[in-house]
Amino acid sequence: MSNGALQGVTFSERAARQVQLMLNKRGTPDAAIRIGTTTAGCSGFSYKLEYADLVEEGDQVFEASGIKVVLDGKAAVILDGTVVDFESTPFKSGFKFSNPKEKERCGCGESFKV
Amino acid sequence: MSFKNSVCWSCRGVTPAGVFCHTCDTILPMDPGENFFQLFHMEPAFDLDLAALEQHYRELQKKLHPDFFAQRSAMERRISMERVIRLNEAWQTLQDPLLRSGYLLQTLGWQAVKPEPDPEFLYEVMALRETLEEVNPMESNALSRLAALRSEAKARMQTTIEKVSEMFRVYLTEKNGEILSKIARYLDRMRYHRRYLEELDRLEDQAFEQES
Amino acid sequence: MDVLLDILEPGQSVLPHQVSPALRKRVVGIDLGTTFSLVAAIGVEGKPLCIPDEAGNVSLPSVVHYGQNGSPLVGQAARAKLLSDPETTISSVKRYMGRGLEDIYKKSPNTPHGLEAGEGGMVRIVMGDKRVSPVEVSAEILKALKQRAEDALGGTLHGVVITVPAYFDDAQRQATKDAARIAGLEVMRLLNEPTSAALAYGLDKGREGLYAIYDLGGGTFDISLLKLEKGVFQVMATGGDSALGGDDLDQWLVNRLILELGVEKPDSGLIQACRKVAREVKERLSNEETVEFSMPLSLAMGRITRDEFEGGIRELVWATIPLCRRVLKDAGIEKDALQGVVLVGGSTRVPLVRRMVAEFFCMEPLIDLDPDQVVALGAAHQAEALAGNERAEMLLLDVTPLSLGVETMGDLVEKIVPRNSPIPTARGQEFTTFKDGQTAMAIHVVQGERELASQCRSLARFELRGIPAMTAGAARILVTYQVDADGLLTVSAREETTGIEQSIAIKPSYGLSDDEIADMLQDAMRHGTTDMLARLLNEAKVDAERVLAAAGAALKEDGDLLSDGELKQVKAVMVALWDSMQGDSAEKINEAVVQMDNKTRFFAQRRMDRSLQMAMTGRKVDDFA
Repeated sequence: MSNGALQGVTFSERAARQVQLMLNKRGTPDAAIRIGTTTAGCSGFSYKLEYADLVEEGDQVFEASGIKVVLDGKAAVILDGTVVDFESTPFKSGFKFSNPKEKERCGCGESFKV
Repeated sequence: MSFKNSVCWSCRGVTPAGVFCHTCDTILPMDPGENFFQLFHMEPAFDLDLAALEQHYRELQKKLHPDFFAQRSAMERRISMERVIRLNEAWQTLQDPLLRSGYLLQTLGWQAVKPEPDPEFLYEVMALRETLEEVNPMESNALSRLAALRSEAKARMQTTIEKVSEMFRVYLTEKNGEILSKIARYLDRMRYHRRYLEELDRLEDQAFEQES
Repeated sequence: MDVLLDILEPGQSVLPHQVSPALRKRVVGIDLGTTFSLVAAIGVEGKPLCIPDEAGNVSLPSVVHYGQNGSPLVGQAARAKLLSDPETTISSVKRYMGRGLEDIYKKSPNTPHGLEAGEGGMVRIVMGDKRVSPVEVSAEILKALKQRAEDALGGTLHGVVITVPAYFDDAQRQATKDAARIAGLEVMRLLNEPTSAALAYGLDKGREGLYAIYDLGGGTFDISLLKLEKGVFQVMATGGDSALGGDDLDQWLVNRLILELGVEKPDSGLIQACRKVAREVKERLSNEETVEFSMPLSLAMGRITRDEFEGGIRELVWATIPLCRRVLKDAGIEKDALQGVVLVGGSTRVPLVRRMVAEFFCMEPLIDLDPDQVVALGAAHQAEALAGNERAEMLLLDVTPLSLGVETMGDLVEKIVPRNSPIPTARGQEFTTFKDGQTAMAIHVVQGERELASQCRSLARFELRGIPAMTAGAARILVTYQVDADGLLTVSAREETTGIEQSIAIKPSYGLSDDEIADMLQDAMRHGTTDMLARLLNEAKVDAERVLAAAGAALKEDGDLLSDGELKQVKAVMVALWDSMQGDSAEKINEAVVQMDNKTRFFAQRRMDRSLQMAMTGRKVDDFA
């Protein structure tokens, strides 16, 4: 995958439906969501998932399963190939990032390394 | 007390006295000089609207209780705790006629001196003691006998409370210090009636357990 | 572990391993019961739910088995060992919490385990050459529940609310809190069980008015009266017996079985076998008039009718009724003012219990929430509110179950905090010296309703030293009792006449010495639960920084209010606080903050006076109206 075309980030049907639901609930049905990563030195990366009201320089904007997605320019490489899904149990619900570049996760699952 | 201002410990702005800082909305330490009546925004008096008192108590709890500060700084948690400790004491005191009269006497500046003995009441006390000694909680009719004594005792307590209430009313218009020492004597009567009722409780508990 | 993400508002994402303030904190309510325990959380639908194990069971048997090696077994697996390894399998440990050997033998001389007195007079359970404290056993149960909750909620728990019988005394509460500490849990609150049940009824069933909560658990009985009104849950009075419960009903059956088997000295294996049969028989008798069963460890069949059973347990069940009556009296409430009676605890399934309660209160009791789960469900609500996940319009106002007093001359007790006082509360009482030149005074703290100190529960003894030598009766010693929202007591004493402040604050500690707790904590840390400690430390540091910054600003602005000596004193406490921040003890930092606060109070007062003066002279009074 190192030299091939970027695969980008994809959203599952369930995830897309949930995003739209939450955008509607927020009162901004036409807004986008932003994905990216945060990092602090050696502790690795963690995923970022936010509502996006503005597009900044370097951002990549695309549509996935019918929703508008803004991808942090800096994170484009790390997130390449990631599939975002939505999971729900009686006690927790949320979006799950499956990233083929993820090499190792910390014990609590909050951060990862590539 | 409307112009009592202080510096907010958190934002350092000047704020009128109250529960929260007018600028930053942080909880303020309590004013140690504030008496229980002021705490509930009531004039010092014996006749209080108890329903309003309880309503007020709950409203203050909804603002001050430490549970609402569980996620705040140690200082805020402490202030909330101190305030609620005081609120609870105030509420317990004002709600109870006996504690209320004692506190009101103190608020009105009465210095506690041992009231001289009240010979008339002493006779009553001795007679009352005898009625209790005649009851055997192990007897089959003890419960109904005790119930009768209870309603008499309650009536005596009620009469005393009414008398105290009247004397306080007179004092608040006439401001005659003599009346306060008279009230203090009646306080002793109330105390006795309270103890008598507690003794009845104890006997009733025994009689009730016996009846099974 | 897979992490599930929420969509945050722009800019609210945080660095790895930090908690975004925008996210809900993971919290649970725990019902740490005598026979079984549960853990509940607010589910995605917003209603509290008990968290099941992999097999779908919500209740975890409160049984711990200590094998030859490896970590102890907890729950179903441990219960399976009750018969084969009775000596190393511990059940109903809640009955031993915060208790001394004497207390236990007084109530139940037939314990399945060897017991001995440990440090501080508290009981230790003997297993061969191993000794465990009830606190450690409870901690194992809590660890299992913690694991279950973290799996279900998908991450580390921020905090928990643990329920205790309302009638638990200070020692029992402290022991419960110690167990949680060892299990690596941050206790946001110890919540009284009947209050918790009322919370669930009030919030999930929308009930309002006056309610009695009758809670007969495995080992404890509580009766509480509550006023439920617009989200405020006010306990009017509470009473009970912390050593009376469903286990005692089983015990009657056990005794009968042993008698029928004709065994003079039953060993622990037989006792456990009888217990198992007794529990089953009791449960079946709730639905059947006559029950036939196989006798324990024998081929014979046994037979018992419900009438016989009820005849045997009548006295035990009846013992709860005078307690109900007393609580009504304490609250000054007549029976007909009650809107309902709520039943809590598995033992309230016994038909005789229901009948007696219905008869006494003259109404059919309520059971629309599962009596086994309702306590945990209420605790989940309280946890959610304390975590600040929602600025809940819900508030609990609880009371002290037992009077707190001090021993005076001749074994007499002077009550300082009467029972049913709303908490938090603080009460003081002044004492004086009775000998010329007396420089020390012994203070004995007791809990209970009896008039003699020797008949009450002794919580702590300590000595106030350094009283300046004066004539008898001249010293003024103020003893202050403070009960916090968990129902836990702190006692302090201060000599007031000389102006020299001599203050000592003690937290009565029971069962476990501080050293022992520290050891167990280190043990827990080795097993990888440092997160909580780190967080506590961090919070303390942030707090301390804020205090230091405020003090620095105050000195800059109003430092002229202080004499050189005073300035030195203020600076010294600031330095002490700063020093404490360099260490890694949250407790030490918090102590330093309190010290700093105490020693700078006069300064704050002067600043307030100055600002008041400025306000008065600088502007017209009308401006402040």
